[in-house]
Amino acid sequence: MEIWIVRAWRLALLAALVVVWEVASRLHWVDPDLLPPLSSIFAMLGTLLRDAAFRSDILVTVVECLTAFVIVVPLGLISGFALGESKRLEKMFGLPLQLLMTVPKSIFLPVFILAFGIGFAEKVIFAVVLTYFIVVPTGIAAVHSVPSGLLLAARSFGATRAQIYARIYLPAVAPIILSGVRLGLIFSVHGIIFAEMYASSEGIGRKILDWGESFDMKRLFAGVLLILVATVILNETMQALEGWLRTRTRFDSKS
Amino acid sequence: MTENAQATAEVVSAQNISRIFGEGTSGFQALDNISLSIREGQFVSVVGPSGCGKSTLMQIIGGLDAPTRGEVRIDGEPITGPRPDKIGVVFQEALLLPWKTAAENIEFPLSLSGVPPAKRRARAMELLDLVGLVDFAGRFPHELSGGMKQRVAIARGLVRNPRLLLMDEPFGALDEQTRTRMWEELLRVQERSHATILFITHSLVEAVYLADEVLVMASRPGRIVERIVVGLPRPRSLDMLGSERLGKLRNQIWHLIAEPQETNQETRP
Amino acid sequence: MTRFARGFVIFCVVIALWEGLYRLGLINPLLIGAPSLIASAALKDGGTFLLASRVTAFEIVVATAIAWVGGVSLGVIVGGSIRSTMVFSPIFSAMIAVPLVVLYPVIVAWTGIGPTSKIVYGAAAGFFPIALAAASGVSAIDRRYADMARALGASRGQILLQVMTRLALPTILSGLRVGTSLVIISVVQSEMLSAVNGLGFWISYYRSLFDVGHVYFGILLVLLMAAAANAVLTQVERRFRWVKG
Repeated sequence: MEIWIVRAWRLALLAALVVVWEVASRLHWVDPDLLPPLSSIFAMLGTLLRDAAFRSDILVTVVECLTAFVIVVPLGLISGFALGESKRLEKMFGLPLQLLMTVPKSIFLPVFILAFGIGFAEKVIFAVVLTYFIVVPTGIAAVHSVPSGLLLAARSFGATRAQIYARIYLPAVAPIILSGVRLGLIFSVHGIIFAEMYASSEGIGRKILDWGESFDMKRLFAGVLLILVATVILNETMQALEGWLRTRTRFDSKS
Repeated sequence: MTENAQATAEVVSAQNISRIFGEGTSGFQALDNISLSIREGQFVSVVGPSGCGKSTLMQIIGGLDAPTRGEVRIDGEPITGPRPDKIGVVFQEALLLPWKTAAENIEFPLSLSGVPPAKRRARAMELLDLVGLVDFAGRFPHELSGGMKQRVAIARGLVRNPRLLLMDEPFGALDEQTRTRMWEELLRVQERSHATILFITHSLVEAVYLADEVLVMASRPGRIVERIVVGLPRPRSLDMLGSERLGKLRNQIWHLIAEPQETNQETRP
Repeated sequence: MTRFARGFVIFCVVIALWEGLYRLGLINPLLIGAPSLIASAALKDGGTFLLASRVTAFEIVVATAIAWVGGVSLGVIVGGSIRSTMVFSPIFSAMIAVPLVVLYPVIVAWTGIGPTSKIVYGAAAGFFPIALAAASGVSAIDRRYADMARALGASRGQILLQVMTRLALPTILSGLRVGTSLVIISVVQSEMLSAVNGLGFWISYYRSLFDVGHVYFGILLVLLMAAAANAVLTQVERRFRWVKG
């Protein structure tokens, strides 16, 4: 019951935002040139989505994001598993890794451009590097979350190696791995969008920057809303999946 | 003091208080028709099984919760919210603020009401002396043992010189030995400060050993089933723990709480 | 002292090795620069970069102040009640997941290309993690502390400010650490995207001239700034650290 009240509140907040936006713009409380009415932005979004050129920009961005995502998630998770499993690797790479994690990566984007030129490879590599250091810790956390008491019990009951992996490791680490996957996806998007906005000839990030510079506020807001809504939906869906896995497996990670 | 308790003024009185959580048929009756009276200088303990509404009772007297029916008065005034000027509270956990020293924790209620620092400090030192922790004034909570922390919490409860010290299972989280030492400590504090104390516990021995009067509660709904006058002489000493009187009272309470719950409910008018 | 000396020796060796590899043509200077290129950039345009650092530092300080004050206040208020925590915390965390950088062109359109747009964007980026940490920190504090304070005479405001917020300080501080580093990154990011001054602007400017020494010199200054902020925060954290009592 409580959860419905909370949902109702959130819905009410969203509705209030929508109404205030629309009314403020329509009644000229704010300059409609700077904040066009929400309805006109949605209309513009509809127009844009029917435009083949814009759709191909979206496709470019999506392909870049997915490429980075497909590379970085296995790379990051496997590095994390290795570091979590092996004391020796931890000793060798733990400290430099920690140092690199705290270094802001975005400011190195110009270096990626100097090294690889402006293009698909530069953007994907940048997003992979940016995201790698965010995924690695979840890999380490996944290893550390395996309940050792349960492992011992399973061994003493004579479980085989395969059984231990299938019944204990996998359910225990699945939610954490999924959160690594989620972070991988989200930050791949962050990296690609920023790289597109910084230097690119195509992609939705480029378009947004162009529209901003040419003061095309309706198109700008349409693009911004599209990205924001898409990432929120992506994030929420993955989080819901994570929550569902957690309740299903009923292993509380002790970290 | 016990003998002339009837002659002194009434500090707290509760008239037919009930507390129902929730509404209608799904409502849960935590307290049913509780009446009690505590006189100045009296040490009254409330004992009962877990879930009998002891804590709800303590929340209501402390002004943290309101009864559904009935009324609690302190010095004749109805309690409608916390009365830090009249009631000091000690909880099961010491709940000391970790960034404050022992002395500063004791000063905390005074600082809330705007007492100047010099005066606060003087009062805190008095109380540290009362609970035997003068040497620990500048220590932080994590540098104190569990028993010491609870002594600081007692001092904090007494700092505004309350008319009533309300104690909610204050020794429940301590180990057996510390707990016994805390009994001695509390009895000594009460003797010196003449505080009026309402002490809530689930330990039968503790309830009898410390108090002048024991209110025995039963659950479902929470109600007082017996009021027992302890009648052990003061000052109390640990050898009384093995006394026949205490053993008899302990057994009497045990039977009141343990077996007759159903029969009791049926025979109620 | 010996530790410091050893660190210094290691530092010199690394620099020498780096320079040596560059001289021998074994590394691509476009990828990781070279100490001599950075040094010559510093000698030639140190003044410009110093002035730019002041602009960037100013933007960072103002944006950080806004993000700290705004994030902590809203977070503490939200965390004060369980229901508002349940309503707002997911909104905060969703805003962290979103690539806020897409809002930057909007902010520039609204506030111009000067320092204001950097401050607004930087503050917005830092705001949400700080608010989230403050809200979850305060809402995770044992409610019995609130009961205790109330029974001893604390008002609602006193409970929230003098008890709950102080108890939640470790969580709030870790939020401030995350938030501050996001402010720094975001301010520099926004300077890189469109600006007329600031370290990010000059990094981008020299990138377009393919001048790797200047680019790395700018990056180095940003890293120094981030390290300085980190050191300050570590000091603050140390001051407020206490063992749970």
